[in-house]
Amino acid sequence: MIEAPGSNACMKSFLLPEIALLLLVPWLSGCALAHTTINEPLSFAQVQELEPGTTTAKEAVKILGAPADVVQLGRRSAYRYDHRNSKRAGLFLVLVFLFNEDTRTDRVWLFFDENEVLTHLGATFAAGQTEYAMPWTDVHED
Amino acid sequence: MLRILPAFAALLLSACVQFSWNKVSRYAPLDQDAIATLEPGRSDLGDCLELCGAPLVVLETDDGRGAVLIYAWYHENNRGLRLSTPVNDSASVDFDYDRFEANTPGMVLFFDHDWKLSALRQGLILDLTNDLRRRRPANV
Repeated sequence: MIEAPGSNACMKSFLLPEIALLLLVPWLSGCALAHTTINEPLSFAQVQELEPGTTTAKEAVKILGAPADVVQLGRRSAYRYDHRNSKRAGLFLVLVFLFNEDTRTDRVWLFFDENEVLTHLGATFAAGQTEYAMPWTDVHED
Repeated sequence: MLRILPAFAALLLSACVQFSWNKVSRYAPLDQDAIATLEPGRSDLGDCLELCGAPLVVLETDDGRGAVLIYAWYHENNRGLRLSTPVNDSASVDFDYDRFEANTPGMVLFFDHDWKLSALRQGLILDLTNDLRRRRPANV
């Protein structure tokens, strides 16, 4: 018996390889998530303990620990504290590769006068807002 | 069999050719409205730190009496067909001083001995910091 073109049996044999490949493709795809941090997170509460005009460098180090960097500014100095948080997400779909990286930091700079008394303090806390995302996402959107 | 060939070709091609969408965001750009309120000669270090937060880098000025604050942010958004390369091939930027990428935008603030803002520059960080070098610590 000869089946007419377009019959069910003919369609099944015709589509079988394509269906098999379609089922195979998801198994060939890959995704990856990576999370990298540098230094310990900074404590907002501890930074609030610092008072310009009264806190000394010694007291600041006692509260926040050793700085990541010390910059000499003539007879004055500045201490840097930072914590870096990076989240990377990648999706590989055979011929398509999507990748996103979002890196943010907590940063605190302490400025001391020649007597090692804190004069100015600058702080940015953003590490906690780091996101895993795909490239079409605006991670800095409010 | 001929119908399957394109699918196999796609699998084989994936080893060397792919559509890639690569986005890297490092730090948020500063608010331009906040920057507009900074005035050399009037704003001081406290104003700048309050409006812009902590800088990425602080340097001593050439005369050793003031400070230079560097703010920078990096955003890359590349799409297109490309030959297969390592994922982080074009994402190796860092913000340690002397390691800024050429296309990193940012802002540099110069402060005098009294912590008054003396100059403000915006543009590509490498251009802005060409004449700045971190000096070696000295005994005080």
